[in-house]
Amino acid sequence: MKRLWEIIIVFCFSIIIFTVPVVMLCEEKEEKLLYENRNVTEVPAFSGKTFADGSFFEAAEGYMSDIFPLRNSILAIRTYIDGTILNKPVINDVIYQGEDKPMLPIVPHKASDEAATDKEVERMAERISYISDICHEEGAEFYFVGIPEQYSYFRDKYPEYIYNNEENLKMEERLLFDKINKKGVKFINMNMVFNNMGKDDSLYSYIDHHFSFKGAYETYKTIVSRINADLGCNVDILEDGDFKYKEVPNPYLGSRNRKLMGVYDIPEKAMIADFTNRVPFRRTDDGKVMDSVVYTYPMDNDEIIDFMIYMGGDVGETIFETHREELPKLLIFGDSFTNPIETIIYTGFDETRCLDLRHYDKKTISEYVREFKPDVVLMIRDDTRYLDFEGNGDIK
Amino acid sequence: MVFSGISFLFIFLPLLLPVYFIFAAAGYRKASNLILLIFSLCFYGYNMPKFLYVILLSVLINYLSAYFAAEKGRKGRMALTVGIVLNLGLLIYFKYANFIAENLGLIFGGFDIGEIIMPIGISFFTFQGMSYLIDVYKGKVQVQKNPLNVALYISLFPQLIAGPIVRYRDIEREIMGRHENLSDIADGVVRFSIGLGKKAIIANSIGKIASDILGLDQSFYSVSLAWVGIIAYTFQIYFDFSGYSDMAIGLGRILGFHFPENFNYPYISKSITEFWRRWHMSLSSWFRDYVYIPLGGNRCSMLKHLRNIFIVWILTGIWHGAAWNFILWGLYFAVILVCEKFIYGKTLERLPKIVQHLYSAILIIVGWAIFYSPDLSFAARLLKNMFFMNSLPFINSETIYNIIEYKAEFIIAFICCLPVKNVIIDFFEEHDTPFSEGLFFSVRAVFAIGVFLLSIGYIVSSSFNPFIYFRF
Repeated sequence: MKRLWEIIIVFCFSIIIFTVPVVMLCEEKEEKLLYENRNVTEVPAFSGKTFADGSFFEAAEGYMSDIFPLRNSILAIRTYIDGTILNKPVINDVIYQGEDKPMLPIVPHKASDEAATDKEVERMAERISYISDICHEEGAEFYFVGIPEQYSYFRDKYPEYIYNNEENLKMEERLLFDKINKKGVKFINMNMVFNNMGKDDSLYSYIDHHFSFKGAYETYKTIVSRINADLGCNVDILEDGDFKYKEVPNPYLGSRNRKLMGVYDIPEKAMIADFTNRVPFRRTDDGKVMDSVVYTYPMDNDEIIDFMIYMGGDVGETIFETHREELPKLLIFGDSFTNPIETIIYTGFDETRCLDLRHYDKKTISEYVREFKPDVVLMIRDDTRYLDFEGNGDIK
Repeated sequence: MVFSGISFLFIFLPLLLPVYFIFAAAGYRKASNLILLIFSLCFYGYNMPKFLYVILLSVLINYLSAYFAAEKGRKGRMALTVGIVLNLGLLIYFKYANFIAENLGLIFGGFDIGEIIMPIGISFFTFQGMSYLIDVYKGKVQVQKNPLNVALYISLFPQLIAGPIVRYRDIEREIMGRHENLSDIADGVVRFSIGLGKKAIIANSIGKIASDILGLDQSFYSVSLAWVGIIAYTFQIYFDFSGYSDMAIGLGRILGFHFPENFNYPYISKSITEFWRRWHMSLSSWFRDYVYIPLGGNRCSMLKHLRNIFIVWILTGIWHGAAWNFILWGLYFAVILVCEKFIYGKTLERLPKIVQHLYSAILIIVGWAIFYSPDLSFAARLLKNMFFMNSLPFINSETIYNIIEYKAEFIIAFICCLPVKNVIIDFFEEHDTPFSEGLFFSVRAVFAIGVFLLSIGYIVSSSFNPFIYFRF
């Protein structure tokens, strides 16, 4: 009996260690890991240097882990074990509280230090003030638009015992808007606007770190109303009669539920605007003429979609031309929060240009303003990026 | 390369084992040893090939010095001295030069020697080499004339980078005369799987708790949180290190070697003296045999005895790392051991067992707080946090979160610290029938393979995979 079980142990062990590499070699390799939202680790070219410094083997380890047979199933099982068997409130760094509450991220702890934050905020305020001044020199109106990120919007929905960074969020918001206000920069604080609206849950996604399309619409409406009021112009604001909210039936993968591998989900669908009469436009992305569309439609109803449905994702420079010279020209720069806003805001302007400085490096933002000479410039930042000096915070 | 890496499990082992066993089964021992040596060097060079020369230098030093140390008289003594100086020189240069320069710089200024990177496992293979050299000099083992066999002994991959510290006398006969067999291979697989489970399932999971908590800013601390963090680290270091030892012993067994045990449920100890008989046993016995006893051990005056204890424990501390907290950690245990030996050891034995366990557990945990700390000020702050000296609340939301989120890890770790395995084995030995024997071996097989598969799942799904003992 003992011998039989010894044979079984050795046989099973051998089957596992010999089968896996064979499958790894033979299996067709995916280039992207859908649920991890990244490419498979690239193995650097083998060279004396990459061999000697160990970087070749380090990357090879990551690559093998990425192409491991049944990787997604393994990750899903682990997710299930953590959530259901071990009953963890936080699974893969996401707080899952059932379908009636938003999925929220675990936020790294950050000690609250007002003096240090004040210095950082001052630095950012100076940058914002700098671009605001340039805009004024060029005859443009500048607005800094602050938008709460999803976890910030739902900060009161964190379980009491889980850190939600509220103190820092509040402090950064207070300091930043105080400072830019003192420097004469015009701003729109959507956190305040949403609070005044009663903080409707439907304005934000339960499964993604962005707002929902409704939240984007409210932001759009607030911005255009403010422009009309300040500039005395009459940019049309799309209202209920101009479009209908339309739910895209496809499964929607946000940045939060993506991490839960489909094991735990909230039935949320992406929303878009279905226009009664769409304003015709010509779209150019990074100098290339594109189809005149603002949504990337899936091939069929089963295809998984994500936030890239709005504008097809992040693009360095997008230009909308509606050829209505009587209307003002608009420049927006910011992260992906701008994407759903772009899908509707262009309708009120002659020409709308959208920059994402994470992907655009041909000119600095000040050079761009001087050359394009827009009437309105919007800098859109979410409140987790107020003190991010890279990407769209890298104002020169 | 680490045992819990994909490349080790699914490239290194599948390449090594068939080649090795073809030659071993055919009786070509020299060939199978050569294969093992080549694979061991590949294993060592996998992440940092540039440090291969260090281990080869260590082999050369020990081979030559032992060769001459085998001769009696002045020449032998000289060879021993030179060998030890070179071994320690290598260790001091790579492991302690930065520390020494930094401290001399603080005193005298201007001691910048640049950053010297420590090759992995240097403390382990240096001590192995020295034990071989000393044992040859003392005539306890025969000098090994074949340099490849010395190289195999020093670089043998299962115990190369994190022990156990195998002495030459432990495997002297097995280098040329071992007999691989099914029973050993199956035992090895079971042991390896359990070790992998300790590392990949428990140590890595609970290590995340420790690093998350102990890396927090002071403003997030409470007394209980400090305890939760350091208890998590207490579990992590045990499962990390003993898991690695289990894997080493298991791999050795697969290849026909029988390495000494390194851990024997240390956290069930009732005193610190007992703890050190159960924790990292290969290191404790190394220091006992090559430092403590040669210094006179306890067969000398009280003062010399005390001196010997303190020397051994300062060395034990500094062996673990080149920093003051390790020296303090060694001294901490020296003081406790002296107290147990000369002051309250007998009294402690008369106390209820639960008190003895509690006493040991608290002192061990405090020891790990010192050990974990990157510097003395961190250690002081952590200890103050633990003992109500920083005006912290007793409990806060962070404690509650960590307990709710990681309750399963703590419960599993706690149970696995207990000798449950021994209880099960005793039970089956008492009920020795063909049915119970069958049940035992089937459960063992299913458990081992299950743990192996689960560990693979954890490895694939986790990128958090550091080994604590690599810095040694």
